[in-house]
Amino acid sequence: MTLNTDRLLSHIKALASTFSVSDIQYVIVVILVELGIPAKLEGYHFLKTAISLYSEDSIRMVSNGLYATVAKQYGRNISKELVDRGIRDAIRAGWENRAGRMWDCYMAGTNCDKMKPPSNHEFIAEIVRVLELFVGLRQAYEREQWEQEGRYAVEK
Amino acid sequence: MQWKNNPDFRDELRNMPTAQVRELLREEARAEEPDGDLIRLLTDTLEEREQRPQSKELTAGEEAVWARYKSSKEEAVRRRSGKLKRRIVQAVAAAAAACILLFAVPRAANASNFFEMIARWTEDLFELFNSEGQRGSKAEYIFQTDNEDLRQVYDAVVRIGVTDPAVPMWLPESCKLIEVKETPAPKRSRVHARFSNGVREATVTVDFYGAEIAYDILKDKEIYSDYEYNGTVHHIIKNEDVWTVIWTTDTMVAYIIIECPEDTLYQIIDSIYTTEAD
Repeated sequence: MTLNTDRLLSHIKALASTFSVSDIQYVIVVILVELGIPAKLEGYHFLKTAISLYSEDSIRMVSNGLYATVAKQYGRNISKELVDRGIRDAIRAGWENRAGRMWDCYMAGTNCDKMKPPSNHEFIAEIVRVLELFVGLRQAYEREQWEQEGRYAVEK
Repeated sequence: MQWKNNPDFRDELRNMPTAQVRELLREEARAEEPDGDLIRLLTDTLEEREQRPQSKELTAGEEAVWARYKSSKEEAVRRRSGKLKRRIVQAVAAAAAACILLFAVPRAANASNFFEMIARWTEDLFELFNSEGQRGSKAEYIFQTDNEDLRQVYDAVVRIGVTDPAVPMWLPESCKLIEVKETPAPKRSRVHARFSNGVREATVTVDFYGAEIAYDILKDKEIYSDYEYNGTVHHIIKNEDVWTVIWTTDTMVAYIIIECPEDTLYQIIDSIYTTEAD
């Protein structure tokens, strides 16, 4: 699977023009939905939380245990094993239904190349990389806008 | 769902101002149960507009962010493929320790002696440590193979109580089963299967503990290498062309010893969880 770079860039540009950085949780929703991860699965919600936590502080999440932190947020009955399994099932569900979806944009270079779903960690890391692209583009747009407004104010 | 009943929706969307399409996307992403089809339709529409010639040229800001992404992506892909190469380098260090025992095993050694030697070797070589958070859980598991030898091993493993994936569904065709030894015991039951290709032996061994064993296996740091598949870390040691793969679940320790090319080894590990058709 080769990285569909043109498509990825125009796609994330569209998202960066639509959502602000503070709306990043909605960008996560869009990406997961585009990858065909069914929102009815528990793992979909675990994934949303895991990606969000990981993108906030990846180092802390790795050292404290991402699954345990996600599990804590969902209450006493949820174990880290359940989170791990839920996420795995959700990824597999999206991967099994991947035809025509955005997998070649987001997941190139992962296990998908071996015709297997990516591991949980690979999946989360790739989404976080895409989110970094989104944040970078959005910030670039905001900077350009400020500069334009600044120029306009000076000219005025 | 309303949009699905509107046959003109796609046309309306095509003519809709971009700001309005964006607003629809924002709304849908915030919905309790986002409509995947609608989100895809909206993002496709926006993406199409981004691809129009006048908006295709990148600004300096976009260029810089895009270059950063690409380099991070390339680095990640390099790291992933580098992992395999690193494993081989680490295994060379492992070989020094492993070869003493593996080559000390006489070809004609009987099964129990052979196994005892390997067991002693693993006890020496591996240190048990608590590995909270390292182990993953598995997708739904179905043992599916046409290989009757492997089916026989699997049946024995199930009989001692193992429910986790522990037996490969594939081995090179030349490997024929010599014997399966089943040793049920209250504290630790064992299945030990010996295969041979007429020249060398390969073994599949499964120890079932019944109760939860909160340990994973770590070899000396110098020789540590691993391959994660299906949420399970498989520790690998290489000695010349002889590989040892060892992995654990909550209640079981399993290992395979085989002489084969590296690609074949990964094929065997993958086949513990999935068939080729998967």
